[in-house]
Amino acid sequence: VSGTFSSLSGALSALRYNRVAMDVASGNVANAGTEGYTRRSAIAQAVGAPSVPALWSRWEGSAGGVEVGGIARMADPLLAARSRAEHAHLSYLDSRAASLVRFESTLGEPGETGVAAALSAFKQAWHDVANQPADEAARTQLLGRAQTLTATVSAQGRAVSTEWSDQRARLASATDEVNQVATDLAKLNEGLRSAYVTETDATTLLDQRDQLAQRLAQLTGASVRTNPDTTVDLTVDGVPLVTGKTAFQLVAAGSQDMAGAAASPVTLTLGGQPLPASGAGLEGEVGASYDLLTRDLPDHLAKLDDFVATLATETNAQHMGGVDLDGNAGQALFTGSTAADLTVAITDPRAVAAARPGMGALDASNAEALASLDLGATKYRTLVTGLGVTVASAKRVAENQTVVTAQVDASRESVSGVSIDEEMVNLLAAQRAYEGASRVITTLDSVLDTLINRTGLTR
Amino acid sequence: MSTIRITQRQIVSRSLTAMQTSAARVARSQELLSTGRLINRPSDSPTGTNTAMRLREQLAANAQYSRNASDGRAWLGRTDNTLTGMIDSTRRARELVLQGASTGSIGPQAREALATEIEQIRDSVLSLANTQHLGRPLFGGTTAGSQAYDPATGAYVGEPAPSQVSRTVGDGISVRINTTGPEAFDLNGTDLFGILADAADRLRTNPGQLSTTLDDLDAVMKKMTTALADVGTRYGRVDAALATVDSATLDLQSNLAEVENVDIAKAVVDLQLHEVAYQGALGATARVIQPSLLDFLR
Repeated sequence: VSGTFSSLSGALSALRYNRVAMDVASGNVANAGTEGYTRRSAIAQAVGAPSVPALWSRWEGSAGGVEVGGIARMADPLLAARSRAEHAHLSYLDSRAASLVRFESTLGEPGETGVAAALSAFKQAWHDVANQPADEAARTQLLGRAQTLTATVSAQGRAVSTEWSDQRARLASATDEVNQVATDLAKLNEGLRSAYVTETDATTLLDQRDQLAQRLAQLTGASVRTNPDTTVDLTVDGVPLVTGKTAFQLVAAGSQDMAGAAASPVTLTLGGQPLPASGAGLEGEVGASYDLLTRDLPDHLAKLDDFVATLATETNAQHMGGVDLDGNAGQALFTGSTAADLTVAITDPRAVAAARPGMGALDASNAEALASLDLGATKYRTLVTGLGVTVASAKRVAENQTVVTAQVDASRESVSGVSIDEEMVNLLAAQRAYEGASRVITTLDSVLDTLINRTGLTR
Repeated sequence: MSTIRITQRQIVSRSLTAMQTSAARVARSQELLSTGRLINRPSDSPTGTNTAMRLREQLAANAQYSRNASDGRAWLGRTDNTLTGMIDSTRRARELVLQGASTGSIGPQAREALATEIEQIRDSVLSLANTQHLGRPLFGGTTAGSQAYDPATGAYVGEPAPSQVSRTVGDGISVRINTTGPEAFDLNGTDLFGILADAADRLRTNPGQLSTTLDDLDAVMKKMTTALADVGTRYGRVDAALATVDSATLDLQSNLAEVENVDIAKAVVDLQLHEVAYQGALGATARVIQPSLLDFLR
């Protein structure tokens, strides 16, 4: 049995619902450009017979109204997890490639300004001394070129340690940001928990939660587990970063410059537990900095030092086998065996040992023999080529990862993004439905008018 | 929903990516064209870098070999000239000795004149033997002094054997460029200058012994000629090495250009292509971003 005014209440519920639908559409349009916004959708739910029939009464209504079943947040948790993983890897690769590219550009190879050119010039100077053993100008030039060689080598060594210090500072600021964001997320977890208990709308909080989790994934490659009460727990390489409302501190300890790194290596701890915990390695910006600090840059410096040691040893061995212009046995030409401490030990041009002992004062066979030595040139070439391969592959992998990440982001955007066209259509549909419901009220009003004002009147 | 939703943000980010990619390609083409170099850093082509560095190393070495060879050629040429002059003088001295040896037709005064001329020849040959090249006596070996022979006594004061001056004219190729005095003028304990002094003495005092002097002069001239031939051979070797180095340098330079330098025609065409693509991306973005359903709703 339909009540007199029940149709009016049905129309009223339609007015209410469509206003909500228009509100949602306008909210979506307003946030079309908001970072991390997930589009909402008003769920319509028809009001009809109760789902659990009562024992003594029956539902005899013919039509009910409509009500807002909820505001759905159009997010795909699986895509979000995938996106976090891809972003974590991308930021790792990007940070690493950027650092390597920056450092590579300081090499100056192949060209006329690098170590290889300085080494060639050094060898040429030995030939010149061999050609003119009595000429002090040739000997002075040789010492000058040796100085240039040590200067270019130490410049390259300095470029490595500068990049190291740079990365160390980055690691420090990245850990600061991680701790800040993790603390924010722990607070947010608390809010989410109480919103869940009180059943209030938490869609904005959920957007924030996903954004913070995404940022932490970019920074550390953290993996995220969503709890039934909508809070999230994060772990980095198996070690907890955020658990409920507790955030654990990520601490980067150790030397601030490369020289001290041997005595006090850079270490990461999360809540007191050492990272990386497994052999898989860390992801994200923190992982990139950590790998550069503990692996890539020290490896390069070790290879450079190896080249320098070869250069110094080969030169000194040959040089000390000769005699100088005054007949004295040759001294070591270089002191030091690393890029940082390589220096030219001889300042007097007459002390260059061009001759072999007992072969005459102006013998130049020692200089000639020295000029034809390799002096580590092959090692240096291998070093540069190796770095080139590393940088090229880092760049290529980062480019590939960019494409993969863009695809995942597109899929995610396809589900969660706001389409203005779609919102316009939704808005129009709600507007028309609103107009329709108003029309229903007008019609009912006229029906009731007839019933109330005209029924029974006979004039 | 079976169809893929395309949102405005997606279009924007895709357009941005497309424009960035195109712009990066244009920038790379521009870098290639403006530097003229294919390899600006090792990662542009690691294998190319390796090749380029090897070629550069070899080019630098070759430039030095070329300089060494030129230097050696000058030394050898100077030795050749000096030796030729000395052989000519010695031949003149032999003629004079031969004249003096014909005892029947020549008197003591004439022999005295011959002896005087021979002494002058000896002095001039001795000073030739002290010829310097860039401050070093040609026949003195590795001596630090400025003379190979004492001008007064005619004794060898240069560095005794092995007294080698050599030049590296190629990878592992070292050519000796000097000839020491004893190697060119020595004859079983006595040398050219002693023989000439003896000849003058014998002309004055003991013409009967002049036939021995003639034999000695023949022998020492033979030795000098041999030394001259040896110098010529080594000059030839240095010349050949120089030619090899020069042609190798040309090959290396063209190799290096192939590895390192940009093919301008290709780079220009590539730049055009990338520019067109970039303009396409810009145009497409301009068309795609503007319209929305709002433009068509009243």
